[in-house]
Amino acid sequence: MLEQDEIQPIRIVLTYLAGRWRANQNNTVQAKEIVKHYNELLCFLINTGWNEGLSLEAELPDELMPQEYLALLDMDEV
Amino acid sequence: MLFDAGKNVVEIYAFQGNGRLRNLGEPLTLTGHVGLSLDGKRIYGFGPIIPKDINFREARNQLKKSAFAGQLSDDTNFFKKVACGFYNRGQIELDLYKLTVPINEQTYLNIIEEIRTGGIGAFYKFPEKGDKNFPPNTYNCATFWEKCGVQLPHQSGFLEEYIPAMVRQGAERVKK
Repeated sequence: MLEQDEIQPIRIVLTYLAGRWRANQNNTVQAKEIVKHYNELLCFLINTGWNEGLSLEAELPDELMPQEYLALLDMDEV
Repeated sequence: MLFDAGKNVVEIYAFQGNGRLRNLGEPLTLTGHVGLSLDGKRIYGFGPIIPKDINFREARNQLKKSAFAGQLSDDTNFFKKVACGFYNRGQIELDLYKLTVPINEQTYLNIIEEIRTGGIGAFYKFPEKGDKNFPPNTYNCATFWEKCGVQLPHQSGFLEEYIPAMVRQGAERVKK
């Protein structure tokens, strides 16, 4: 399990990657690369036991988010 | 209310959103939100005008991709609810912070004018990461007030950085 001060920089990188995806969503090659890096990093974070959730600005559109994250959100379905 | 040089400040209120609150059906709990108060009573926030013909799920996804027409609204009651933990669920808590920022008379007048016109004409978009974080005349809730001259705690517009910057600059937690 990571400490909060170790998690925060990862959250910032995820936020910036989501922002970079928004700027490059029409550039297929670059957008794909960003999604790959984003998914790898988010899965790494989840695999450490993190389950807090991200704000919308730090998420990609649902269809580009990793299943592991969507499963976290599904836990909250009522 | 008249401008009082030397005394005049605004209060910036902000909290970070959380995607795990999507079942509440309240978009601002997912995005997080920033508001500004001139008098410590009414808090105004800039947000997107969501077309009535798209559902919540679609709106959520569109916000991650594109710009919407924006508007200023009186979000006082919403911020009060955040402060008293109304939207908290289990371990997911929304922490509201308040930062006091000095302003000059021109900024004060600009804010009054924006509140009067409801911020109409500006666009709302999440920040991008590129040469510029926002296209012209486009803001999110965090950066909107810069157009009036308010000194922002952080320039990028990403709440992930904005709120820690507020805390570093002396913001206090608001809890009721």
